[in-house]
Amino acid sequence: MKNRSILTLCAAALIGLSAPSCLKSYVEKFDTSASERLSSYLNDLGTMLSSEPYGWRMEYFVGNEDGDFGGINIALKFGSEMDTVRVMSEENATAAYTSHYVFMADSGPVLSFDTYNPIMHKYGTASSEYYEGRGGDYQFFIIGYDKEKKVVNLKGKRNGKFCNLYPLSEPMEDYNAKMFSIQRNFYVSTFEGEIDGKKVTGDIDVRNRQFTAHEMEAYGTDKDGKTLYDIANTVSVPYILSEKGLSFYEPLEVFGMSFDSLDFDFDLAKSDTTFRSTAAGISFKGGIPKDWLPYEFFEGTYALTYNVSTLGSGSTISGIELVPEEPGISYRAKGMSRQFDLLMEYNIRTGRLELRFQMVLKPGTNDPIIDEDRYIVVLLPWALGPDSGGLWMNSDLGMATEWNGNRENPTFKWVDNGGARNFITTSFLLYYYDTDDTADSPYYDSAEKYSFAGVGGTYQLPYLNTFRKTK
Amino acid sequence: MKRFVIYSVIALLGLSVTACVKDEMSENSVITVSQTKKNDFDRWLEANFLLPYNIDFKYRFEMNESDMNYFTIPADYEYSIVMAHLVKYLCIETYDEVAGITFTRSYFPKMFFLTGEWEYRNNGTIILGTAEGGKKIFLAGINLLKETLEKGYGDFAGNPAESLNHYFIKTIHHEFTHILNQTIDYPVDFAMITGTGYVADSWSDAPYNREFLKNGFITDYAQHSDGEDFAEMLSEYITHDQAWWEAQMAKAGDSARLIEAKLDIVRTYLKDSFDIDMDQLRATVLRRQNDVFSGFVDLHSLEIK
Repeated sequence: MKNRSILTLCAAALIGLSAPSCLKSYVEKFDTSASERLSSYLNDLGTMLSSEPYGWRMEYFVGNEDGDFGGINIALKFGSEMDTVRVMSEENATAAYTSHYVFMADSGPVLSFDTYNPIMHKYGTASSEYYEGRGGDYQFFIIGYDKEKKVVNLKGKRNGKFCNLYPLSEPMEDYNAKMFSIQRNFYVSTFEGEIDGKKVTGDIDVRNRQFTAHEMEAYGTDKDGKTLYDIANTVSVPYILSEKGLSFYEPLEVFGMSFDSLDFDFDLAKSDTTFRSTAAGISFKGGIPKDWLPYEFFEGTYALTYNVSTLGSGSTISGIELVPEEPGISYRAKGMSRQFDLLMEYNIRTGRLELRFQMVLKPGTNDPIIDEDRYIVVLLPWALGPDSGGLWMNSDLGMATEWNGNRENPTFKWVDNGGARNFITTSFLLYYYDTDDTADSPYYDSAEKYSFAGVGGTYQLPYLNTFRKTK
Repeated sequence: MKRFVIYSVIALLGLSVTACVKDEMSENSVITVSQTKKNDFDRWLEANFLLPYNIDFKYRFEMNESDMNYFTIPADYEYSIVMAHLVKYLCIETYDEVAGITFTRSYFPKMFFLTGEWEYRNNGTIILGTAEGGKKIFLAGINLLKETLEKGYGDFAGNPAESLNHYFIKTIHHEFTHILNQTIDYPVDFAMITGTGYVADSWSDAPYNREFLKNGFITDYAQHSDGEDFAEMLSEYITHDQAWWEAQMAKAGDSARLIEAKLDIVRTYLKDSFDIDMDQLRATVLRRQNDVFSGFVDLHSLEIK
């Protein structure tokens, strides 16, 4: 009897279990599967991207826990075969690189730039200095796109920055040249203004594209009755340059006023920059670095001093003549050596001259000292210090002039140019670089047959000290 | 009555099962995969890797194939082509020649995956490549191949042949050794010879990064573990000539006997397990390396023969 009850209950349970499974009658909400719909979604986007006559611009925001590098304008022309893409960046006026891209169904629709492109992968490339790269993505979740408004919303898959695509209204070469010029000529570093009668000051880090505003608070007056201020609150946001001005990664709120962009007239950037947000009714007066000098100021004759050691024992190279090489861009420094000239580049953002890694003697140069044309000679940045002396063949590295503020008797101090986070250039060396492939040849070695001018000048230029204008 | 209930249960079970298979299966899969358009390189890979060896040579970046612990970037298209030629000529066809195509088809990894840069670790070391599960070899640093072939790279700057060897080709032979070991394990005796010398991740620290030969290891990395030691022994030996080897043994001094003892085990393992003569393998590798640097191999061609 007991068994029968159990069996009856089991039968009832089975009926109960099996009946609903067979009664499942559902209506398809979509005509096609999720996978097919995703595929169709991506095909439509592919057509939209490749059919835009001039291509697209990407507001490419870069950054991770190690640092934020702001936004870079990238121009992209997607191939009609939905396979290759041509890419340019505002960081270089003319360079263009073609690589591949693909749409993928990952944990959502993804646009992936899946073969190497020196622009698209620049900030994602790891190195010994940035072993996690610099926060640049090259795979993007497709958050959405609007065919009417022509905008594609992307989000970096690894670093999570939002990077939108907008159509270009002119050939990508023209757009890129324009943005290159804008970013190169933008060097406003400070600003000041008011919001609702409250004082606002701030800094613009043009190197890392960061906009920082300080809400100022009055705390008293000085002996002349002038109000004294202290920083009450600081807010910071990455920005990207646009043809109108600055566009922020996200709205910035200062003294309760929110704004996501500031317009200004680029033609006036050098002398009278005013940042405006018409919508927010904001106006800030921009300023340039305190020691900023125009290119023309540097033309003349100089004396350079350097120290043989950290303890002093200085040496001088006099009569160095700076002659314009590429106006607005660089000077040729004659007289640094009897054997060669050096190039000094003008950094418009800092208003300083820079002496950087460079080729002193190019391959094939008919040089009496090196009779074989397989050698070149380079000026190598040297992180010389009391306990170290690293060398790095890197064209970003070098030293810059820091002005003493005296227009009549200008003297500059040589300082590291900030080319790398963990390499402080204090000195330079002349090095051979052997372009021959044979195993026995040295790759590079001290170019001791070359020397700098000045009493006791050798192939070394240790501890650069001052650069004084004499004429 | 009891029997009736049992029959009822069975009938109901039958009904419930058959009632649920009424849907007709669609001929088309509802899953669609991302499709890339085949280019000349894809067709060349199909003819030279996929059809003859069933090897999938992945040169386009796939996050899922990469190690998410590292920040990697895609490989350069042009130099992926060069690397494919190098893998084919210096590795695949080397084993075809020495061990026969059946060996290559049986044991050579079924997937290559390329990325552009090294995998940087936060202790200052880099990863050149890895082998996984006896099936896949991951090769990093493809974007540095141009500089490697033209001028030499890193520690071997000025010496393109040794540079190519160290950063890429030796890596492939090293990883392939792991795959052979994953297929047939090597004798336990190997790990005993320098058993107390393995130092795991400290291999790149002083004094291990300098004293390895004197400690009985052919490279600094060989001190990581016996598995890496075995792979370093084989890959270093077959990618260098006898003069280089003897120079290393001279530097090793008394410890040369330890290295030679390990080399004998490697030699026997290859012969007994896979019928490969290690010295013939080395002669073939070196001859083919010489062919590459003599311009005998067109590393950019996509002509399908």
